Amino acid sequence: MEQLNELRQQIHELQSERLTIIRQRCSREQVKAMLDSWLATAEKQGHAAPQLAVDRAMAGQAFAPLYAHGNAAVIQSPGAAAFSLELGPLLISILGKAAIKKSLLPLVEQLPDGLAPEAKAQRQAAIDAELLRLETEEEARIVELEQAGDHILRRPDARPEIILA
Amino acid sequence: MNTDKLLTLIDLHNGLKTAYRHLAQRYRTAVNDAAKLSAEMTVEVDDLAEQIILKPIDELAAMAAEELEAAGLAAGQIRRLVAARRLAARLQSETEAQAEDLKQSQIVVDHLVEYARQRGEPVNL
Repeated sequence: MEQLNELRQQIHELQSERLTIIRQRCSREQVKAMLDSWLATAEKQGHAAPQLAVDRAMAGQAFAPLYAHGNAAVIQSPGAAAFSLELGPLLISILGKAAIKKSLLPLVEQLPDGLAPEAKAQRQAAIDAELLRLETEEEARIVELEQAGDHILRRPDARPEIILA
Repeated sequence: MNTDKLLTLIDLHNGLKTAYRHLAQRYRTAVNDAAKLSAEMTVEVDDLAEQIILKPIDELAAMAAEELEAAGLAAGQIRRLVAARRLAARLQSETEAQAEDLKQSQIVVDHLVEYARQRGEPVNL
């Protein structure tokens, strides 16, 4: 019985690790790549807006190079209007991409590091293989104990394909 | 798929169900017995004796025979009542534990039966 409990403990730990990996956030490198991608897009947008303002001024229209355009999602309740505005392009056009990156990068470094996609897949595969071995051993142990006259309950999440193998 | 094993596990589960039904019946009987005993004892007794009879088991068991006699209660009667209530309490915890086991077993059997059904081997429970 002690051996069975140890096996179940190991199974539980591996299942928890597997769940953690599945739920795990992206790795720091992935978040950095997202940041770079966002900075590149925002930089392009940031250059386009003042350029458009200059072009309009040349066409005789009002000069408004830092005018922020946004979208308001009006909720149907009196007095409430959710409003969001992406200021990234505007700030990048004024402060430059490097300054924005310098202020955001430390936040990424503070994140707990996650596994990179390949490492994640490898660890998951290793856990699956180990779980299969442990659960098969657990079932064999239960059968032994049952044959010795003990009544052992199987785990509610025990896999039918292993029990009935 | 090991169909023999599936049928054996279903048999074991059915055995667990039967044992649970018997235990639950014993528990109900024990509760009724304890309640009946209390009711019999509270007939024709004063308020003080009734308060004593309604005390929790441990307090009741710890009462001195003189205290009981002073309230007009026989120590032997109280011992029987304590025993009846303790039996009911023990059977309650056993019934609850067995209900949990049965629930767990039911989940496992449901998974196994569903697994068999998906493989074209339906099983009657």
